[in-house]
Amino acid sequence: MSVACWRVAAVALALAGAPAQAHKGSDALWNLTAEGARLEGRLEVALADVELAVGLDADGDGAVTWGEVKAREGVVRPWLRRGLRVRQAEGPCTIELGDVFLTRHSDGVYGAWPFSARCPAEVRALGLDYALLFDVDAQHRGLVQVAGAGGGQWRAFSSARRHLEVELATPPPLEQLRVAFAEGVRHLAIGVDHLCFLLALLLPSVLRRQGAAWVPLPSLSGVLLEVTKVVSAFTAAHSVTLGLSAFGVLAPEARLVEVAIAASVLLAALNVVFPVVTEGRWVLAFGLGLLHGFGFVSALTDLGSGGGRLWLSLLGFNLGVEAGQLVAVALVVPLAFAVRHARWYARLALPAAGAALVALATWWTVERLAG
Amino acid sequence: MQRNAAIALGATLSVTAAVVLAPGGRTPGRVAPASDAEVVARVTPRRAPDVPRDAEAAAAEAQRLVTRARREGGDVRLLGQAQVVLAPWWSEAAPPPAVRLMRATIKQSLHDFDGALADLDALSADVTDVQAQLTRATVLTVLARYDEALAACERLKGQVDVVVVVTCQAPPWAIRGKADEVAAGLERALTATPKASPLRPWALSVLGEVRWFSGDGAGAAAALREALALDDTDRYSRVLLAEVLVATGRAAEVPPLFAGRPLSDAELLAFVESGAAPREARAELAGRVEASRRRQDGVHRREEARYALAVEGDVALARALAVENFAVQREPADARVLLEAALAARDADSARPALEWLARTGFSDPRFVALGRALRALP
Repeated sequence: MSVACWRVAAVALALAGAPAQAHKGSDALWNLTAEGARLEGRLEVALADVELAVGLDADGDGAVTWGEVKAREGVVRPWLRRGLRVRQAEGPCTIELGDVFLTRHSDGVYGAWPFSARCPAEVRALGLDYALLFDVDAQHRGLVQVAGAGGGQWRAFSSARRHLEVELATPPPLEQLRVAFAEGVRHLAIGVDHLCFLLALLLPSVLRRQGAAWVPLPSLSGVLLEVTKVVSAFTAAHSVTLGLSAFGVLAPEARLVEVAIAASVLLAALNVVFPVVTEGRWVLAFGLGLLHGFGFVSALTDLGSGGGRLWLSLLGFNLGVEAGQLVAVALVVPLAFAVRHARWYARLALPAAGAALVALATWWTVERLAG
Repeated sequence: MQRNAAIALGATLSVTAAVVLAPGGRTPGRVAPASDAEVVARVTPRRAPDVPRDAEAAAAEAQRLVTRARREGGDVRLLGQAQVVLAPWWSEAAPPPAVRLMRATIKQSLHDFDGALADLDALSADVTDVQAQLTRATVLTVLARYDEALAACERLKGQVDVVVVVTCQAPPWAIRGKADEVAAGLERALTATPKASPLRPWALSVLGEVRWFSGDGAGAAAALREALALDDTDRYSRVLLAEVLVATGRAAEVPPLFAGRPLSDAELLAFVESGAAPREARAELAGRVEASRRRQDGVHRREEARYALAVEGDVALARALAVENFAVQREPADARVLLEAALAARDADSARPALEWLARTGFSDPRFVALGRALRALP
């Protein structure tokens, strides 16, 4: 075959549609959250990109081990550090990167470095410079997300745009409280698992266990005491864990939390059908409620930190959740109270509702385990 | 406190503690290697940073990267690396031809069709530069400038095998309603092409596409399968074959096409659209789409529009993306997603550019004709 023909063949192959099915280019991810004059966050760069820029694969066998990643920290971290600059009108911020860990993304494993910066003044506006990898991949993008700025949108650095100005929207405190409150109400209203959990604990609260049978509680005050104990225990428990995870003290794995929450609904519902804990159901509300607090934290994180007033968002969100809870109580408890003397309530309605909740919670548990 | 309650409290607190202490917390998607020896990434070992100074060597290095990019499903990383190799000439008005051709090829791959065409127009003055003519014909076809595309193919005559000219001209002619004649011409040209010719897979892939344009599903599938048998890395043919199989009620044949191999975005999307993809494939695609949207560079608008329409059922988003996409590239697949999205949104107006394209070309693919009719029948 002639040389010209071979070249045509190469082009022909090359032309076979490649542009239309391009796959993801190289992205680095940079998250930032402002807390007063401090910035906290994380920088994630694909290991394949780190290899390309500064090398990781010491033995050149095409396989990067965790040991090789750690061994190159002394070179990689200064390289990352040189590629980033953060400043505000008052002057530059001092950047620090923590020890590398690994995260998985759709296009492979990334190195992740905890990022922190100290700025001269409270952070309201930032100038960000990013220059990593453009010298080896002209299509690289540095994607930055600043909590509280631009509605959580990602913004992109490219080889043509290596500087971004970011303004942090800090709402007035009352507005921040209102938004967080509304989010709390909304989160409980759409969080069917939380409501089902509460339902499983509240439905029997108009009754008392006597031997192997349910008997109605005589007075409203007795019922209200029981309901208050359950609701207060649930509130106390999820407030504690929500607070602890919001401030980063505890951070369990999100998927595991979702499974545990589904399982907690299952346990509470089983306790309706086969009563084991018949006195002091508030204990269940407390013990299992701890798990639910971890489940609330993602919604709170999405609200942003409100410029160093995380506690205000936390307060508003929690109040919103409580308000939603009280509405649920106001809908369920009076109804149950009204019909508590009917024999069908204890014998039929309660076990049936319990069984339905068991079925639903079993499905959730299985689904979340599989997912 | 009741004894059971006390036990329950103890048990629930233990569960909570277990959840808190379980590994993998802190960061979603965190990977915890079991030991230092664990392999955490497969990479292409880094080569010595030898950015070529002379144009011929740089063009050859860029070509090597671009060819690899295409084999690996249009890897944008490799295209970006090729761009870096050409950096000294990237902004030059008239770089040496070899560099200029690669610059045009990279721009085309990144959907900068106007930029690519400017380079290719300049290069095509040299009629002996067959690659430039051929690439130019492809770009012009993507831009729906069929007369110019055919003229570009015409200039190849006498310089290359007949099958190259026929294959070059096949898409613009087929789009203009001559799919049957074009398929016959391709079949004749293929008969005269040696079995071992590296041109065969390309010609077969185009034959499959052209047969599909005329509604011949069985013929299209046969040609595409033959193309894939000769060139396993031809992702374009694989995606088209999946589409043909699904549309002709043979979706059961789709999974073996995709199972057990790394898939490009378009392949993964075709797999998921076939309805036969496992849950992991759907999750993988969702992750890739999210990542692609984050990049905001619009290179994947066609795929994003299809995803919004067929997977997410977000008609408004699909329509917006399809409209944007058709303003940049106007291949039949781009027209199709615009027609389908507009029909789903019951909004013939936004499909007007695709309807005009359909009327102007006389494109006779029965599915497109039906879509056009349905849209025009909207109140």
